[in-house]
Amino acid sequence: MRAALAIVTLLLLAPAVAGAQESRCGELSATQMEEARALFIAGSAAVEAGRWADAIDSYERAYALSCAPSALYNLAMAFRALGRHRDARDAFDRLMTLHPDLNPDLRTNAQQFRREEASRVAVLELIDIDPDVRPEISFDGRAIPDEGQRPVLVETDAGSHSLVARLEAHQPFVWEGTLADGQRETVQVIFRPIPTGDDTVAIVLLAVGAAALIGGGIALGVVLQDEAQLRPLSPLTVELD
Amino acid sequence: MTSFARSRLPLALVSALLAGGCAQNAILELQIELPPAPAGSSARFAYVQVASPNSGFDFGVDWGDEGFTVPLTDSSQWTCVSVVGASPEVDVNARVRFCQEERCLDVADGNAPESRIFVQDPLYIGRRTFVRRRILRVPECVEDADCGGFGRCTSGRCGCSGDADCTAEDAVCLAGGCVDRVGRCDVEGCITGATDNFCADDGSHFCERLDAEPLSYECELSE
Repeated sequence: MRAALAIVTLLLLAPAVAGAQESRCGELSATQMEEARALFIAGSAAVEAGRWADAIDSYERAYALSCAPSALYNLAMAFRALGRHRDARDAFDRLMTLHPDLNPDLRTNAQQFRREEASRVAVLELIDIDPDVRPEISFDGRAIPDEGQRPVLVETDAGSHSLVARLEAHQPFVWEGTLADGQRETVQVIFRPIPTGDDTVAIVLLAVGAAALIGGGIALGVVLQDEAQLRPLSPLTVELD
Repeated sequence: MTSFARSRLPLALVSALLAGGCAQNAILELQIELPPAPAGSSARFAYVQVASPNSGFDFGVDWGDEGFTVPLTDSSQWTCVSVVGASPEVDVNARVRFCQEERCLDVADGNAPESRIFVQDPLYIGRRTFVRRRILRVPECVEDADCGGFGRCTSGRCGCSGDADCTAEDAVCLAGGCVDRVGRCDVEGCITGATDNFCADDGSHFCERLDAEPLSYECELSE
């Protein structure tokens, strides 16, 4: 974290010069340059205060305005500090692809950090999905495009995640689990056909019967539990928390 | 045996088994003898509040408006409160304020005389315990002797600035007032027969070891 902070501070004055070297954004007006510079400074202040999410927002906007590689570099470092390894890796990739004339020292650092971040990206490997079908896959609520490549690879960061895969006329497949930095987890996706006709009636009846049994058991338990409790002798009763 | 009775029998048997050993609550029957209304005093009601210091109800803070009102009479009387808990790890505080208004809401009740009781570890899961305490007089005063060992007389009220002001047996000074302190071995219950100490030689309370009938109860039993 301290290393990241030092680099961010070091680059504080860079965007104007870097922006001038950058051609993708075209010529910036004085107002645009001033705005980009203010966003960059706001991002650096957010880093100093440990407000990494705010820093990301500022650097993203500063880069969108100026195309300054220093803003993109700092954006990547902020992703890195937040543990968003996939975003950090992609930002470093963009930095080195879009800015071939990057300062050599900066490029060396970026390459090293990129390698580290790439090694920390966790991967969910979805196997046994028929190459001829295109299930609808949702990972942490975000749609995962299926281009037909097998196995389907889902990149993410460490933490708890959930995946839902849906295929017509089949029950949804659900996976929930926790991934560590750099972990590669293989998940066998199995789609079971939705029962039809008499099977459905039987399952519904079974479910209703089971629910009634469980409800009755709970009710009996409550009655018995209540019967078992000591009863106050006085009508003046205080219940302690 | 009727069919109704037969149908209830299994439930009754199971309940009886559970009642013997599976109760998950504990009850302290707190019995407080209230003093008669003093002649010439404005105190007409006792406002009894019971709570746990483990939940923040210390004597130095206001306890809100949860309490029971007992009109004072010409003679002393017992009032009993069943304190129900589900955790054995709590103490119990009781405060009795002697007020002009039944819920101590009169302006003059802001400085109402107050008696305090602290009970250490009175709850044992599945057991009923008892504490009996006597408040012999309303703690208002003209001189120190009127406080009966529960503080010194200051501006007509019995108060304290240290334990030395609380000379009554087991009394300690807390938040400016003397507190009648009931230690865990004075919490009655779980032994048959007379005793003046409810802890065994190894220091464990009898309620941690035995099950027995209550010793005595000063109030009429409720349904």
